[in-house]
Amino acid sequence: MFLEKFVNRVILVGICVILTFSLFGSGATPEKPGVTPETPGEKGLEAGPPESFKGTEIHLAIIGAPGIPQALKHLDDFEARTGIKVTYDMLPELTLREKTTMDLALGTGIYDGIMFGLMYVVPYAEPGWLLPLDAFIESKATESEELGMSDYISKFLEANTFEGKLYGLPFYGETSVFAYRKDLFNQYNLKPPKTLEDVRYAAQKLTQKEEDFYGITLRGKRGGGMNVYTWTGWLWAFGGRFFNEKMEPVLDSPEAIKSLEEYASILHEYGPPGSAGFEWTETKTWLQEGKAAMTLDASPFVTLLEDTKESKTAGKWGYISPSDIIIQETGKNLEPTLYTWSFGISTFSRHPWATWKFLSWICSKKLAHTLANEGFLFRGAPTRKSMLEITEEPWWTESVLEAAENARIDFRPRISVWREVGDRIGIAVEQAIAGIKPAKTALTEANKDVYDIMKRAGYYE
Amino acid sequence: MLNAKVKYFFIAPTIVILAIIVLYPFFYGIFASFHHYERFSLDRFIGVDNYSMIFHSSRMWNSLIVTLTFTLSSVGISFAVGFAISIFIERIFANTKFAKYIIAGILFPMVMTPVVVGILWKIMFWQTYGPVNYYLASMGLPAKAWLTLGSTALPATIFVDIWEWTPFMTLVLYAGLMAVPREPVEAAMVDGASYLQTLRYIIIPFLKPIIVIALIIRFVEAFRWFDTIFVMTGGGPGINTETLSFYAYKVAFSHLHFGKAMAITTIMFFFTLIGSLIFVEFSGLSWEK
Repeated sequence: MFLEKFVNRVILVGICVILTFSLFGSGATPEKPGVTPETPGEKGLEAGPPESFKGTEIHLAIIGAPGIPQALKHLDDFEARTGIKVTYDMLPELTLREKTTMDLALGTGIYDGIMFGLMYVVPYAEPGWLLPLDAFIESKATESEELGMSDYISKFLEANTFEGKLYGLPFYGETSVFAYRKDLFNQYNLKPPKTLEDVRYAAQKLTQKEEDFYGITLRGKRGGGMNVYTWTGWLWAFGGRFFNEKMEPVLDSPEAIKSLEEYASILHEYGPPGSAGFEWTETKTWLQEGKAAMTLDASPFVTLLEDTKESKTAGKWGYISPSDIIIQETGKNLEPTLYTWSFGISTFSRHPWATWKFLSWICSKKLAHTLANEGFLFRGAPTRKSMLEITEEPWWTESVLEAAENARIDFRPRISVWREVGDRIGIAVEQAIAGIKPAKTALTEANKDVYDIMKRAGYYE
Repeated sequence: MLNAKVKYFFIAPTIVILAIIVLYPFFYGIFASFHHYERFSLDRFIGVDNYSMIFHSSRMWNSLIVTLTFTLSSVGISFAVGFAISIFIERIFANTKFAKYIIAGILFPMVMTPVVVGILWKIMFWQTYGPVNYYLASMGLPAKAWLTLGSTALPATIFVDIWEWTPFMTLVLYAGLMAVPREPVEAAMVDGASYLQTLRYIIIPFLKPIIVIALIIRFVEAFRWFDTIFVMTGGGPGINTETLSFYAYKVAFSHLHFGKAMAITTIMFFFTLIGSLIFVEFSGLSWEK
């Protein structure tokens, strides 16, 4: 019996020891990332671009944004010409974000180049996880006549800039358009809206609830990239904003409250039932099925609405830049959105020059034109002015270009805690749309929480 | 004495694997909840800061209320309905060849993947083309956007959970009913007891251990409920259906505050533990042999 007890104890102590050690092991702080002379990327940088890239292998994290699959079909040419071997993980958005954030935060350098959305420019550039691209652009590794920096729609480049330095080359650029059913507007003798009051009037005229037809549909489901993305256009137009100069949230201002009241009430009165749960997919379906007459959404909606295979309403749409719709009260216009998918170089990359070579190829004007000539037009989401000239669909290109040129870079605040802030504001917007709380209460509560989030993130003393 | 050593040798792999896959993450979670752990880097000990942050957040209290409302109503109703169905099957079909087909048929919702259940019911509740609204409208009742209205979203999701888990209750309680010895029941009947009396004084006392176990399993399952809500409502409208697990998920993978998320899950653990202990305590059962 004694032996049995003894063995019991030994096993117990053993397990405790193993567990304790493993706790310490994994509890160890990973090295803080940052640019140090020891990082492989920096060494390679100082040496300047090599004479030949032959045999260099680079690994990328990318997303299947419109145009990426088409561009990758030309990868063989690039590899043959430069000798660079390119491998990549094509990931869905959430996974991409998790994997790249982890890779950059831990400084592992698995990925030489990454793709990231607009809202991640600052969170990645601020801690020094990305290399500034300005020096690369000037270097001889760039195929300059191909890259065409001056051809970019300038707002997209500005949006990828942090503290005066460019951190991402935009591959995909999105703004928003106001779409309306031209045929129905003609039928009801309505003029294309010039003010938000016109929009409301048209929505009222066109809504026929018995027929299950609604004047307008907009995103309602919560999320910093969901209802906040479209509502923000209203927020700016009514004279509201997210933060004051001290970076304190001002979502409880009368202007902000008014904007949400308007957004919620137009959906409440003239929007489909259950609008509070609408993501862009639902919005799209209602418009394609001919169940709603107007929307304000991302510019690639053009592609979806005009797709003759999927959309029953193709060819019936008119498009206006949101910047052409004003609010009479404030004299301000609906604010166009701004979004990009860009390529950047990881600070921890072992082959920054080869990665740049790849970036300057895949984002180049030349490749964009090649794709355009093959029939892929980046419809609704072009990053370059010249791409809009190639297309034979002028009825939307003007609106898109106008919207992109009038968009604000800080359309949504490019702060490192945006995910949390955006999520919280999205809840308030959805609560107002669903009628759970009045806009005032919802936004006042959100404002308090956003203040706490910002405070924790160290924005205030 | 050799026996003793040999038995440890054989159970060692189990203990080691259990330690790695169960105990280690568990303790690591508690460990991390006392640390500043954001964006994949765990850097410093901050005491109970994560916990105080959580308890000062109205969203946490909302999630707790949602979770408790959900758990209590779902477990309560699925137990009542499941018990009624199992008695019905036992009374009517117990000795017929239909029993096994009925049980197999009833199991259908339970064997479906929760995500599939979520998608299925999201379609059922779909405001315009959903079957639920279609049948309501054909009966002259008003159609509703069930999953996006503040007043109906939580009841609708509770309903789905009841639909999904009542079969489990039925199955377990039916097995229990079948194991109740015939003699005391028959003796009571002979003495003139009604069925309700036998149920109250003989069958239920016999079933008690099984009822307690079924309730504990259901309670734990419902308390950490996540998948169907993720698909059906995404916590919305607003935060009306945001349970503790969903909130923890958001905090971890959306806001990247892992320490805070671990604190929420640790709190959840203690809630489930206390809840289960309450069930055990109030069951009045003796758990020692």
